[in-house]
Amino acid sequence: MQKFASSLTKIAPYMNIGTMFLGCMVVGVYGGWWLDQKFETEPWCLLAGSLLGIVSGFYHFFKIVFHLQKDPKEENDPTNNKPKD
Amino acid sequence: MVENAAHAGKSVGEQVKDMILHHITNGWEWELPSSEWASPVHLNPNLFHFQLFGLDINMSVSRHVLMMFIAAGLLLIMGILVRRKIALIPKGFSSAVEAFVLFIRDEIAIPTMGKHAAEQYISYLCTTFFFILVCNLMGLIPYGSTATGNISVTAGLAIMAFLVIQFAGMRKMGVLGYFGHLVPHGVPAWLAPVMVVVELMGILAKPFALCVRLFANMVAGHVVLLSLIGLIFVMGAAIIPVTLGFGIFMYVLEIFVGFLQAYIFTMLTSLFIGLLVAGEH
Repeated sequence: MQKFASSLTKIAPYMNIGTMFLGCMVVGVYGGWWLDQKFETEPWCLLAGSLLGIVSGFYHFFKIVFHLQKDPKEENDPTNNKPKD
Repeated sequence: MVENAAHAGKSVGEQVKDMILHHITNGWEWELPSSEWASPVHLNPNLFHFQLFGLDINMSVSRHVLMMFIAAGLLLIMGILVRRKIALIPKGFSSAVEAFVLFIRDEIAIPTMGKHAAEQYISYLCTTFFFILVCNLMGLIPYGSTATGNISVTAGLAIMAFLVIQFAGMRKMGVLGYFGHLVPHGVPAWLAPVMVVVELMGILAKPFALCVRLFANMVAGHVVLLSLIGLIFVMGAAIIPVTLGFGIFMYVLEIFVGFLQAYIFTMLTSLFIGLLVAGEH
């Protein structure tokens, strides 16, 4: 059970990558579309928003991946600082 | 299928579709067993219905809100029960709750944000975990309904997570330091405005992802489960052994998914707080 739990903790951030990628694009596209409606500048904000959404999707993708790769050992190891109660 | 006026003149497939939609969407009645078979308890849709600043706001208690009240009530009772029997070596129900709380602390909070920050945010994480868990499981008991299968509910949870994440970042780095953090180190000046937009989009995308994931997982499981039941009415009694087998399998899977999604929501909130709080050292 303990092993299952710690493996879940390891995979959880990876499960977020896909949705995060999608989330960035949706925010970009919808934000651009909303700005277009507001300022009547079709289709430029939508295009810019989509581009930014894709860029930000990739950026956050790599940010999460690199953050996950450098992390272990250090002081964040749960086995080292089990509270003594 | 129940024969009534709403179903008059509709094919079996359409009735099954109505049945599925009725079970996963919000509504103003709550089906309870009573003297008349399956007659619903009607909730008042105009209980707290008012106009504010030209907006039409309806804060009445619908089925999902009722389910959330029940979930909150159950959690309150759980808290009181566990608190009364506090002991060094807990027994029975207390030890089950303790196992979950320890799991959240040792497997979720401490690995993602370090020991010091974990102490500060563990209460929020525990609350979210238990609330989502109870809401998820409420949809699996008879007469219950899944409040987390409503996008407004998950959006509310995600907004709370968003506020906690931003608050954690501002508390750690200061308000100015937090906004300065939007531009990563070593970015050329001409790229800085783009990076700010990109980072802001990431900040908005995080709660959006949390919201959609929980909502989609809860709705999808229930749609599959109800479709399997509906298949009996479309294809006849011969299919019962197959749908029953798959139905039980899906039901057990849904229990697992209920736990898993509560865990993932908590884990990711914790991870996002950790990225801001323990990221710079």
